[in-house]
Amino acid sequence: MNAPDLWSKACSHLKDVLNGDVYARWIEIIRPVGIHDGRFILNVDNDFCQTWLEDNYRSMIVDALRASGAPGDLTVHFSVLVADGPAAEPRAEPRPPASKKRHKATASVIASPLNPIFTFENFVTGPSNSFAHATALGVSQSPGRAYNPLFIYGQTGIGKTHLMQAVGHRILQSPPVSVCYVSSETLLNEYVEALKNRATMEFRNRYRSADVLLVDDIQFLAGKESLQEEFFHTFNALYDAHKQIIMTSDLPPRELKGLEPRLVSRFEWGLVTEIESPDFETRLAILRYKQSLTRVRLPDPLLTFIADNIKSNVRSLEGALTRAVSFSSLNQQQPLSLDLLRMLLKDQLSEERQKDITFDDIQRAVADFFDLRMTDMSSKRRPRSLSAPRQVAMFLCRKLTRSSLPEIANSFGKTHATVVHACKTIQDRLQVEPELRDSVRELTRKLGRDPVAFHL
Amino acid sequence: MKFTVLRSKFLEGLQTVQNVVPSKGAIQILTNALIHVEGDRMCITTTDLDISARCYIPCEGQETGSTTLPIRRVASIIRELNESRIQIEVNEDDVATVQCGSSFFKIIGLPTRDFPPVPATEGKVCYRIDQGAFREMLRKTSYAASLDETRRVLNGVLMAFKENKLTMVATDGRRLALVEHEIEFPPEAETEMILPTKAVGELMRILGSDGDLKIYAQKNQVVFELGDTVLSSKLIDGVYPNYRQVIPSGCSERVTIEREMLLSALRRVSVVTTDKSNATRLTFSANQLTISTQTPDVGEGRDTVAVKYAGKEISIIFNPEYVMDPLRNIDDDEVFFELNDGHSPALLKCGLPFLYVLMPLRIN
Repeated sequence: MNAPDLWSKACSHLKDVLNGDVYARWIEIIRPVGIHDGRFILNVDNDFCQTWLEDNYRSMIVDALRASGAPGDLTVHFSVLVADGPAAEPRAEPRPPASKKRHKATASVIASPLNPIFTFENFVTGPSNSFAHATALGVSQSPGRAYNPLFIYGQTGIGKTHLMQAVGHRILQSPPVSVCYVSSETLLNEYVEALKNRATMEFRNRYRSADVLLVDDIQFLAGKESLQEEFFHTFNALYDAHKQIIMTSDLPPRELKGLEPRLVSRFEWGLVTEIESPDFETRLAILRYKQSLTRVRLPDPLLTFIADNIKSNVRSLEGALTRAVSFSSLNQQQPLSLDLLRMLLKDQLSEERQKDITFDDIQRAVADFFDLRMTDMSSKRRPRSLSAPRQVAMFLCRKLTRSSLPEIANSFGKTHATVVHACKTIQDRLQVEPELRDSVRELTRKLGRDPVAFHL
Repeated sequence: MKFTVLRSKFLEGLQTVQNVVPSKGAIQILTNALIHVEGDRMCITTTDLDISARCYIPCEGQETGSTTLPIRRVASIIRELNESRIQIEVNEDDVATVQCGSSFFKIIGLPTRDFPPVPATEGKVCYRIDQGAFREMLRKTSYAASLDETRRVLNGVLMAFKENKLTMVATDGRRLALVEHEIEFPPEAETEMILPTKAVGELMRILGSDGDLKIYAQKNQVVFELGDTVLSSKLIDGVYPNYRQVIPSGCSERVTIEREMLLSALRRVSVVTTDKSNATRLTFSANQLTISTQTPDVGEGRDTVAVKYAGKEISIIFNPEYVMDPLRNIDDDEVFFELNDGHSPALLKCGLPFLYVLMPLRIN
């Protein structure tokens, strides 16, 4: 059912339960906008209507919507429409002039300063981060309206902070705004300090006065209950005032342990986007770009070697390049060869190699997980209780290692056709069996890999 | 500066303005009071930058001058002294010498030039109202103001000077209290201002039961002058919501209840509620009101109150605190509950131009 029909059905329900006067005052003034990500967005004229409806009529409206056939997990969100914008995107219209008045005369950065290097211009995009990059650009063009909050997650050192600060830089170019960048750890320290000095108001005001709040490594809020409480209120205050909030984390909100559900649900309110580990081409592009900032030119095979061997994150990639570049600029008479480079990067290379997963690792993890013996992995017997885990193991071998089908088949004592069949079976089952998907994801994590990076 | 002052007068003056001083201040000068002596009058001023209080007390000034002294320490000393006449002398370094009977103190102050300026008692408009009436208006509304800092405009009491009336309103999103009082002022002086909760508290403390109160409206701030005391406060910046929208236009049922009986029954039943679970059911039937509540892991409570009612049976759920708040702050013997049904807003009224809108809770 589409949103207007659903709303008119819900209205007729509400008309029955509510007294006419109340209906006319509070329900008729609502303008339904549409359903976005399981939230029914309802527009009202001012903050007070929003407050009053949220406090007093929200549950009634949700019940009426459900009774009219809305899905059980549909929630209701009231937003204040300031100007007549495109009805489908309530938060995409320009900032209300009212809030502009309170801006300071000049652009300013509160809390930690932004790193001048982290700009959009310095950000190399590839398939792994193009979506995150596009959303960040969108946010920087219409802060507080496009995607609020924006939640960026991904492994360490792949550009979350870079992207977040890039938004900050871009927004600062169109003053007057105040951008507040802070890491969760700083937030914690300041909060503790504020509690000690009994200056929590000051703490609050500092963050609530920001037009754009950037919080780095939000996962450190986990388990810090009173700080979460404080952050929850700050979040609401900023969100209600249509101020942009951007957060980064190493895990998606739902997987963050020790975080209050109400915070998690708020983090998922806007857009959750992931930066994946860069692929080979992107790594090479990053190296080329970084190299162009120095005066040294390394031969292409060397760059390819680095890009090919250092995969885990951009930070180590840059580290490797810096080493190579500084070596060749210090030893001008001795050109850098592949062997020399291998010597130079041996620590990083061995570190990367250690991370390679062996068939043995996978078989052991799968056997442990499903409570089987290691020998069951390669036995000829094939009751379903053994074959299913074995298929999972083969599937993981295919996904997590770069080995060929015959190599995998060998380690299981099977033919390559069996492996092909196993991979296909599991791939198909993953689409329809959430429990299996969870198991596979957990196994992947146990093996020290990020399931999301492997599209699991 | 040198003066002699009566202990009781000095203490009274200090206590009038002392509450404004922030208890733990980052700015040291704000924990001091500005004391100025001229002729036979002394002026004591305190401020926290948002609110300033000033009061005048009689003294025998031997030498004109001013200084700032830590008000809490001075007040503690004055309170402990046992002679009635106190002699105080302050030198150029702002060190005060206090002599009273056998007691002698030296108190180190701060120079007056660091003390922030305090708004003057002037304004383009001055409203006059009886102190007692004004205090009653604050008392009947201020408890309903929101404590949620994210809703800034609701963190205070609205004073609307309109149509020859002063209307005061406070709301927190679940209930709303409104009281009106007729006063005279020229039509061009119609205005609205939102007085922050801290200033409301201070005013209620210092307002007497009779005497004139002058209210000077200034830009972004307001000055209250009552006799020898002046209180000024910054106003909450923003537009107060259209509160008229919240008030139901008419209710089908009306119940007359004795205020004290209702209050004590609610107080009894609310003993078994907790902060998390406080839903209390009020069932209005023929000439009887049943108040009941159930709290998991605590127990349940029920009480009945005789009322004057002949309409249909209505069962409605409230937070009992929200019902008791207005009952505690009005003095009428009888109050009137106006209702439509179990999920429409209820109205509480009494003889005065007082009105209280209360939203029912919903239990799933």
